[in-house]
Amino acid sequence: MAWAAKQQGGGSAANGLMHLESENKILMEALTARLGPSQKREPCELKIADFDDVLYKLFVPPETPNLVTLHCAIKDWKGVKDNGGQDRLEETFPGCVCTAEEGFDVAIRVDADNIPKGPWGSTREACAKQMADIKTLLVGAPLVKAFKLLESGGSPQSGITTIQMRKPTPDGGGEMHIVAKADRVTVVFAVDFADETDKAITRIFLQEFVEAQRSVNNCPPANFSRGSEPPMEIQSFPNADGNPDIAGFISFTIFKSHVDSKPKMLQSAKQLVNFLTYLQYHVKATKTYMHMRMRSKVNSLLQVLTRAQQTSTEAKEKKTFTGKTFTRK
Amino acid sequence: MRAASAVVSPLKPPGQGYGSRDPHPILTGRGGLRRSYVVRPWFLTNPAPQANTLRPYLDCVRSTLDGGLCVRNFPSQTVERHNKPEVEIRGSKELLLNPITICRTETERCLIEPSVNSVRVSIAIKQADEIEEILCHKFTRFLMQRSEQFIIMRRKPTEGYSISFLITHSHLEKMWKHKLVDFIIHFMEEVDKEISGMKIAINARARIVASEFMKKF
Repeated sequence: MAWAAKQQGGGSAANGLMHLESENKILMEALTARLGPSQKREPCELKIADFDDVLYKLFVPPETPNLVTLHCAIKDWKGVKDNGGQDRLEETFPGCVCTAEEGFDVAIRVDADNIPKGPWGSTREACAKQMADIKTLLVGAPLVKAFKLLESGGSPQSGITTIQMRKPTPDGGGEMHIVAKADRVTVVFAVDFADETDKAITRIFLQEFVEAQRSVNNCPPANFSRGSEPPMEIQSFPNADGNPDIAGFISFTIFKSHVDSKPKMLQSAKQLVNFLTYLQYHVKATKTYMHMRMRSKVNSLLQVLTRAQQTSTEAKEKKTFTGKTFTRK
Repeated sequence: MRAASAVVSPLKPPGQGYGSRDPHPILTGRGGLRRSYVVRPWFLTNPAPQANTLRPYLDCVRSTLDGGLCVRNFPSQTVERHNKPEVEIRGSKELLLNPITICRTETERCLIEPSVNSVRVSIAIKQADEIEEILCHKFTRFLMQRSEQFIIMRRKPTEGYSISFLITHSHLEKMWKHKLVDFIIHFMEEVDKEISGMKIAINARARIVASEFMKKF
């Protein structure tokens, strides 16, 4: 559901079909209505699934339609929580965090009559946007934590932070490894798709990410390596060599220049959190394109074959020079 | 440039087809010619092949097909009132003619198996790397799922080939022979073109997708 909505949602005039918006469209729409003028608030219990095995539940009780509760389940809440997720949530929605119900990891409750103030401002639209983008906020927390340390020049704690972004395929994959060094942060994704075709297309795509740094100025350098040879940075990670059949590893190296201002830092984190989704979206789009091409090719080939068919030898009416008609058999 | 005729002298040069009364010299050769024939295009024997090696390959396929598509109505000898393609049934040795393999390269070849009432044409499409293999598999599968519309297409390829056609005498009664041969040649050209075209398109797409992503940092 969210998948379809996102595909359509990506089609805003600003960026065509190239980029997906990071916030969930359905959630955004529902929240805008619920946080808006009081006569439009309807009670609801809405469950939405998003990319990367994220689940949302929006709950507005009929007796108090001004209290909007958003529950959210993310794949690896434990890893995110320990690496700045909880702090970032409380910082962004001060006083709104409440206990999540069974099956969900975090919950925030917002009073529509009394919109809280946060780093995003205090307007209703900004609040709805921030709530609909809660996945980026939470999963991006470990990245932002590492970027902040890089920007301030602090010495990072050694080791690798690993966040399971999505459910691994039978071959594995789906992790994001954050390797913080004093002068750089390397983010390694173990990318995989269950389908062999998707895998092959993904490899081509990942290869092109490496090529892209030649044509784009000031982008973080990327590096692609096959599943059997994980990049140097994560060699110490215990399971790094356990999945030689995955599509591959891609690493982005973020330098100080990519995170030297707050908006830049947030933008970099957002890009990385949504990397797998972006990749998946374009891999699927490529398959659709291939399918369309094959369809049209089949039609043109069929035309050639139809031309080979002998025209029917039914009786035809003919005219002679003098104007008489007769039927040729 | 008479490509095929340089090696296979019995074949007439392309363009001068074999009519139904003018049987193919190899295919109808009685006695003696019982081996399977591999027709090697001239460039495989020539130390310095020319740049455009596709043309002689296709010309060779065309003239062989032209000769091979010399079929007649032939009801089954074992089951009454049945009429089956003998090349599939393989019931009797004397109804099958010598199969011919025409190779351009090791991976790119064409097998023509004539019989008294049907001809099976199998094509192996070149697959240089992983993505071409997948594209080829996808495309041929896509085509074979539509074999009802492509009347002469087989639902499954012969072992070792990418795609097969089965042309029976009833097809030849309904269709122009030269146009049918044209179709197969056109098909072979187009499949190659389509696969390399798709590969280029995917690469171009990937490049744009990657650079758009990188621009956002």
